Amino acid sequence: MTWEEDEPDRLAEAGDVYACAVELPVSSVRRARSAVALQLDRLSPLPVADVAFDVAALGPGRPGSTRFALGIIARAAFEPPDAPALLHRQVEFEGRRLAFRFRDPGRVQERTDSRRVVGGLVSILALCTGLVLLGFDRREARDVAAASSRLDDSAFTLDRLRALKNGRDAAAQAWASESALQAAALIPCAIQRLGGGRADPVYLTSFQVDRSGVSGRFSHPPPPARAGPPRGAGVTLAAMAGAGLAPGALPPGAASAPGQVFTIGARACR
Amino acid sequence: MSALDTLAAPAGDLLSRIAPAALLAGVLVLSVHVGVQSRRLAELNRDIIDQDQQIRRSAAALAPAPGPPLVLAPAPGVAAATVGVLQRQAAAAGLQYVEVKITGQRPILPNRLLLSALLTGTADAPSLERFARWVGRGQAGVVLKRLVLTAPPQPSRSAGLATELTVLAAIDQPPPRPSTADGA
Repeated sequence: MTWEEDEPDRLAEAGDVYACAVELPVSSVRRARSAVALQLDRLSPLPVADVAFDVAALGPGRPGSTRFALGIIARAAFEPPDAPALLHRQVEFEGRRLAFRFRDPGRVQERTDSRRVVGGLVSILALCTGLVLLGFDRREARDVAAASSRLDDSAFTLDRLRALKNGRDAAAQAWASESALQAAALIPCAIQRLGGGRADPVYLTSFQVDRSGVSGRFSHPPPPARAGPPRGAGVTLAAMAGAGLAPGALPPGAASAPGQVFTIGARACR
Repeated sequence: MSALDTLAAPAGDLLSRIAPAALLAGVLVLSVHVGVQSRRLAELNRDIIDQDQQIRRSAAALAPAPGPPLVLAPAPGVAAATVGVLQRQAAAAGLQYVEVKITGQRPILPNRLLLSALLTGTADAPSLERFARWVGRGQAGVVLKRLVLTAPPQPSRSAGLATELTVLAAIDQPPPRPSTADGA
């Protein structure tokens, strides 16, 4: 952005204020003040260190520019001890009555300096706090990561334990259901019941044991082809009647038909 | 007066004001982040405590594995070990011509197997009773499911025996070797 600088024109002096018109490529008075401050040495009839200035808007200038009235006052106006930090002056300029407010450059500088000091202190404090917080944040991030990892491990362990518990429960159930089929205890019982000391021989042709009980087939007396001592698993069925075994119709000494079946219920052997 | 100069001056002034404000804003954002992270950490620690309690409860409630098993052998040799044990016990009871076949097996735990065995041979009453008493001790890890005795055609003291058994076997798992990648 370029602009043609106007030489201060229509320099006017009203009391202790010098006024001139400048055209600047800014629209706000605030920005115009900042711009003028940079070039004050060229615009001021007095040394820059000895003046205070203010700007007032005059109206639009060339396209993209605004005309401002620059008011300059000697710094000596602030020198009396009871002089205020802000001086108000009304100036007639280009047929208009302009109000300038001049700030004591010394006090403005003091305020700017103190503001910078405060800003610097705030910045340093914020920076230190930020660094401390950043360190704390990093440490917490590590703690959170470690805690998450530990939580995952715990969840894995818990899942394993649950699976193990379910597996063991199922295994215990499977073994219990198999154990419920245990028929071994029926064999000594059946042999005891069948193998009494009776002399009447019974020939046992088959003998079967499962969970429900004992069943068998016998002939009494033994068939001729199988004549001989009581056998058939070596068991003598002499005591069948006395033990109340089915068919139960074997009174002592009674003969039974070949192929007769006997049964011992599981309950009888408990 | 150049336009650059006109704009640079307020920019510098603005920067000197913005810097502390930006730093303060950064500190504020960081504080919020730290606060959120602290809350998350507290929640995680609470969850860990809860889960540890659950682990302790689950471990206390863990039922023991069924057993004791009849056989403890490495996985490839479980069936052979089972056959050997049953043959030895049958012989000790007095059964003769014993043959044992494993007809099936199913795992009920990673280290527990149920094996189905068919034992055939010949038996007389005393040996059958001895074998049944061994099986029936209850804690031997073996179940007699079915027994069939069939008298031979010729008179004899022994009869043909066929027994279906279920055996609980444990797989002997060697402890894992320490890794050699740790620079041992």
